[in-house]
Amino acid sequence: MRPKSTIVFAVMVAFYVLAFASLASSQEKILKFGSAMPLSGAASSWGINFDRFIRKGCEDVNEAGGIQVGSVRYKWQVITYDHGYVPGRALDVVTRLIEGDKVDFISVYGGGVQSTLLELLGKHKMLNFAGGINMNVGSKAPLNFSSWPQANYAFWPASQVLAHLGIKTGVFVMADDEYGHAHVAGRVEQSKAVGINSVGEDFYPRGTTEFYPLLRRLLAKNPDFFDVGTGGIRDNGLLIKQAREIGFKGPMLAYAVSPMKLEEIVGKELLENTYMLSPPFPGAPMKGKVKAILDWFVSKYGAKEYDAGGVGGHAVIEFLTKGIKDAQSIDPFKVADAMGKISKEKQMETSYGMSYIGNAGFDLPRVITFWLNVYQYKDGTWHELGGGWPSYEWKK
Amino acid sequence: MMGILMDGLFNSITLILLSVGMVLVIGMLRIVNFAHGALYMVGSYVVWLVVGQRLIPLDNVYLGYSIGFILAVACVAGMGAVIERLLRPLKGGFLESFILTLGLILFLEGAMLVGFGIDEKTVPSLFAKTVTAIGFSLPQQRLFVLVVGIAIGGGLWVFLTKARIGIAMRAVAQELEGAALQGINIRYVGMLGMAIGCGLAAAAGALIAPVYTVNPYIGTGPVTKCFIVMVLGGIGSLPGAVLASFLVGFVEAISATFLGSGTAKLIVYFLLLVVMLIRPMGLYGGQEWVHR
Amino acid sequence: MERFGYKEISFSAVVAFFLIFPVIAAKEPYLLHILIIVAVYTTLVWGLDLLLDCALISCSQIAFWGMGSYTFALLTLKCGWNPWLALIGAGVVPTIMSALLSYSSVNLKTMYWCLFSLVFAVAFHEMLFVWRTFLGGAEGIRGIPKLPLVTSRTEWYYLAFFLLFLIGAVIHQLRGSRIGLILRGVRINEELARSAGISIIRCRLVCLVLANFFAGIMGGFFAAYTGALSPFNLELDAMFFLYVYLIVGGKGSLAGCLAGTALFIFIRELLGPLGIYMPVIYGTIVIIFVTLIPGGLVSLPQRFLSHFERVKAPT
Repeated sequence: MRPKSTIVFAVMVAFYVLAFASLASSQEKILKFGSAMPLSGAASSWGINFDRFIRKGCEDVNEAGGIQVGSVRYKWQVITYDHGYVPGRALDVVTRLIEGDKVDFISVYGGGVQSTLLELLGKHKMLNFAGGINMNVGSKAPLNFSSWPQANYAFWPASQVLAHLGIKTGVFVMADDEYGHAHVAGRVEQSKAVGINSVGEDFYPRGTTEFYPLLRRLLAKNPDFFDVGTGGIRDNGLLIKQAREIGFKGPMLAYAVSPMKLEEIVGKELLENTYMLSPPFPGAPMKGKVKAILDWFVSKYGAKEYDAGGVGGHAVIEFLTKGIKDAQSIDPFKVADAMGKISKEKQMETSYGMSYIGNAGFDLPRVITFWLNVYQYKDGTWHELGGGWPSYEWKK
Repeated sequence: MMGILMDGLFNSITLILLSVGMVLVIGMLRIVNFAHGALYMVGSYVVWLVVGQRLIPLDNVYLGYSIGFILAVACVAGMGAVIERLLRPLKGGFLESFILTLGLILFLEGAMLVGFGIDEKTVPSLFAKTVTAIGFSLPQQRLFVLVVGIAIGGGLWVFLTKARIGIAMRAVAQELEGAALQGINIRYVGMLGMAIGCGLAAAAGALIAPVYTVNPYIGTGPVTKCFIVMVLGGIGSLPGAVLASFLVGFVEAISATFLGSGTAKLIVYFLLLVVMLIRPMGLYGGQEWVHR
Repeated sequence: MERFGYKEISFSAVVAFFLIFPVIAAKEPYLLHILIIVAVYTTLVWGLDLLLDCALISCSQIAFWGMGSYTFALLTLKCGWNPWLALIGAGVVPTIMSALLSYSSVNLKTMYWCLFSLVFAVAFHEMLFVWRTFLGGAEGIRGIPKLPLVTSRTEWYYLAFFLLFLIGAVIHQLRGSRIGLILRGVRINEELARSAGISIIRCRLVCLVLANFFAGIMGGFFAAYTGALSPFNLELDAMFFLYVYLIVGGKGSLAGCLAGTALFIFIRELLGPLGIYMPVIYGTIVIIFVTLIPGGLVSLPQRFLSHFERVKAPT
């Protein structure tokens, strides 16, 4: 061997040895994620599912090797506490997560408990990727993100379907709180944009199961369609069932609830001519990450416990992980900025399908945004009508 | 308009079943059973287990439901006997009994939640058709509830006024010592009354199960309404409970239709407050509830 | 050992512990927060215990606490009052409300009064949800001003315990005084007391005024401390839990109520992610305690000691 090549060879070996040594010595640290969920009480099904998906998200990231930031490799660890949808307890629990467990990021589920936490989150500069938050309230803390699209945006595909059906008038119903009122306002506005007029809007206290009085009042106006709102599986189911019992024959719109459970609550006959706005659910056609995630959920917990809102837990971790990777930092402001850049043009495939973080106007900032699909219940089964980005496709 | 009246009737019948049950229990135990709503909820769960979960594999829904109904009443009546046993040594105070029933509520709700999962349960309707008659339409399922409810109510009335044991029960409710002096077996009658009272709660739960959904918290709403009925009608008074149930049921149905259910509830409370200020022992309440 | 010495020593020990706790917990401000919450709920339980003295089982203590907190919020936010004055106002308003309600209800018997207070509590809770424009509905009120001079968590802690000791001292004094003797008489045997000419109604009014005033003040404190209110804080369950704390801790005993409240709040914290099991666990504990250990936690040392004494005594 010639002397020069020996030196080159030696240098290469030295280089590899050093590189290997530095990789081996890169530290592995824990990134703590706090999960404050309603695990008991009336909202427990949402909280329990959201937490399940958060944990799955963290497992997936850890199994894929964690998050590499500089020379440090982070692995997620989830710490969960129950707040039972009581704001006082949410305060206790979030205080504990931030001060006691010293979590790096947090997710609090439940619109009704968010306002109590704004000050605490702001003081500690905590990035809260909330589930079920109304951004009118949420945006008051600088680092609040929302795991679910807000009113106008979510309703858009449905408005296209309704316009296609020739609907001209509609009534809207939602739970009686700030979130509900904001939601209905958004939907009414969106409907007007496609030529549908609202002839009635009404609100019910959460927990109501007897809707006959409300329905008699609203449906007396003979609307073309009836929007049952976003109150969850029981509200949706009972509203649809009771509206049919009272004699309403027009199309109804349900929102992001388990279609199998809906069939169970309403009954096959009464469910005919109901539309649903939802991400893909177990049993619906889907592919890629969405399919992988839902197959996992069904095999572990069963299709009966599925709830569309829960899936967001996984997406939250996916977005956070990408944000940390892009920002190469765990500083919440830098991560928030990096997440903000996952925009419409740079969408990411998550457990929701193709999604991104909204920026302005129609796509509210700091809100995970994705297109929901519209499904129709006809002849005893659900049919997918269309949805998805970039443009709404009507399948007939 | 007829529809609203039917709504009112529907509300009232369920309230009557619950409140009459509670009056019987009060008569026997001399304390308010706060866990009455939890027993109602357990009744619904039993029916769900039999019919919805097909615990007893039967193809005929009607047969399944009937068995579920009987099983629900039997189970809860049995639970009632157990509760009575637990409460007997607590002669010490109303407070201990009250808190025991609170503990029961927590335990039962928690057990259902942990035992059967977090999702809403459904009991399939027996009848999917709707009846349309003189200007209103009511689903057959609700009509069924009305008919059975009235039948139970009627049967109970006959029992309490004509049957010897029924009369004995009323005697025990009215005056414990006097009844004992008359030779009535208080222990036996007491337990029977408790069983019937709790059985009524289960019957209400079993009847209502197919109408809405079933979850561990369905008991709190009805039992709160039941208390309103108690306070309005006079504790321990059967005619008071019936009358107050009708009053509350119809007022709520009418005001909910025109004003929204949140406001309707407030109107009911306001009505109650007015009655309380004028006649604090309730419509039929006796003076024994007031200190001199 | 003289009974007198034992009680005084343990009381001083407890006081000393609470005083120096912030030093112990300097690294974990979260623990201070938990103790503040314990203090708030203990005063409510004490109020319940006081009302038990005159044979009143109140289901509306939580409602008056809520009324106090909403009063504080409205007085400071909408009327611009000085927060300290608003705190007093937060105590006064529920007292006035309860006095109005007492007009017809104060001479009702225990069970009836209990139901009546329950109905009031539920009605108040509903009202908070329905009256959206004024009271904020389901989202409640936020941005409540703090109390001036109280800035750090430690200062909040000392204020909470100052209020706790103040209220405890008042109740203790009351029970030791002439009125206290009357109350004890009523507690032991209501019928006999009445036949001895004691006016139950006057006792009740005194206790109601005190209990509701304290509840209101702590409500105002809570509003100032957390900065945001919501009707979900007043769910019926919360009222149930107060009784759970009372009976397990030991009714009739101030120390017992404190112990019971602290125990359950700690259990809740320990459970953490297992929140779904909370109702079952609480329910079981309550049933066991009510049937087997009616005296509550505070009676355990006595029982334990007396067991030994029985064993020692020659037959």
